[in-house]
Amino acid sequence: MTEKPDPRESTRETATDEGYPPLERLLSDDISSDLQTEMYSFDAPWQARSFGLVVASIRQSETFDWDQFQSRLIGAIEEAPDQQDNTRIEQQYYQRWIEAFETLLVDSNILTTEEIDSRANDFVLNERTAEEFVEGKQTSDH
Amino acid sequence: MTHDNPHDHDHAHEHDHSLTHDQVSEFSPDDPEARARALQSLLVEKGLVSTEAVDEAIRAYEQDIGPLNGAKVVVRAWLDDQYRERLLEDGKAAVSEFGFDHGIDDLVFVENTPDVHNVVVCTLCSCYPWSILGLPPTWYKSEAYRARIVREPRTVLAEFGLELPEGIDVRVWDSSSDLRYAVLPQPPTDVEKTDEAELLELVTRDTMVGVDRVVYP
Repeated sequence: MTEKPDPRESTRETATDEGYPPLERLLSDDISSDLQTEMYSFDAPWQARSFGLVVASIRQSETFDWDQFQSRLIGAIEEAPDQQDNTRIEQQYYQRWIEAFETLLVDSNILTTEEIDSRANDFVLNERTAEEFVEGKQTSDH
Repeated sequence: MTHDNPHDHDHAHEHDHSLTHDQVSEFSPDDPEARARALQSLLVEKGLVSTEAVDEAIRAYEQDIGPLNGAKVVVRAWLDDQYRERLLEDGKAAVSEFGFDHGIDDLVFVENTPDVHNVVVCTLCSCYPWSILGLPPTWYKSEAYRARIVREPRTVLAEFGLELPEGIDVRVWDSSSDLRYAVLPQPPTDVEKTDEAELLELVTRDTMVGVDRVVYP
């Protein structure tokens, strides 16, 4: 007979008294706290792209600014379900970045949701690939 | 696996790529990876951003912009009283004297004293003094940190290993407004006699967020 996990054990692992997953694991995973040379980085390339895209676009934009992005980021985080899982914090955070940026671009009449849906679909179906972001390659190459 | 961007060849986290992708359901246009690519593709097409600028922003935040920027600011403030006053008066202007890559944060420095310890949070959106500290660590973005540091700062700081004596007043600064806060830690007592390189090593990311204090050798 296999031993059943103690349900209290898992509760203790995933939530504190206030209902938040505990900080402990996050702190022990954080290797960069004492080292200035150890830079904190991205978990996945798409997260880097999300961050870099927003930073570069705001810097170049004459239409929108950081505050307009930030207010939409706050909205996106408020609307998102509560974090139940400390292992997906990075993913969820940059997902909110992309949602907020989309809202900003649509609100600023720069893009439409249909346009974004359609282009995202092209990438999902491999009709477009990230090759188009590689220097020297054009979108027509695919 | 396709390379997501030209900088990824030597990335350790490339392994995570497929994992993350799997977690978000493989063929959905709601996949944030597809949406990020779509936004970049459309904005490049409209001439509103260049892929070079996106790659450069990523490179800068992965390689150049980190806590050493903040440490340089802090050490200068420790050694130069006039600079310290300028920094506390107008953080953004004083930091801009260093010429770091900037543009996304309006900075306010709050000063630790023998009686006051400051700690920084952003309860609503995990805003962070990026230009002097780089990217925020995962715990900074967690709901546990964001909610609890406001309600029970001493308990949370103790979890970071920082036990503060009763006599010290703990002040929590929420960066959710248009301002980004950073902590100016207390200098070591022999600051004038200490080598600048050694001083720089004392100032870590955590001391500037306020979840740690400068440890004197």
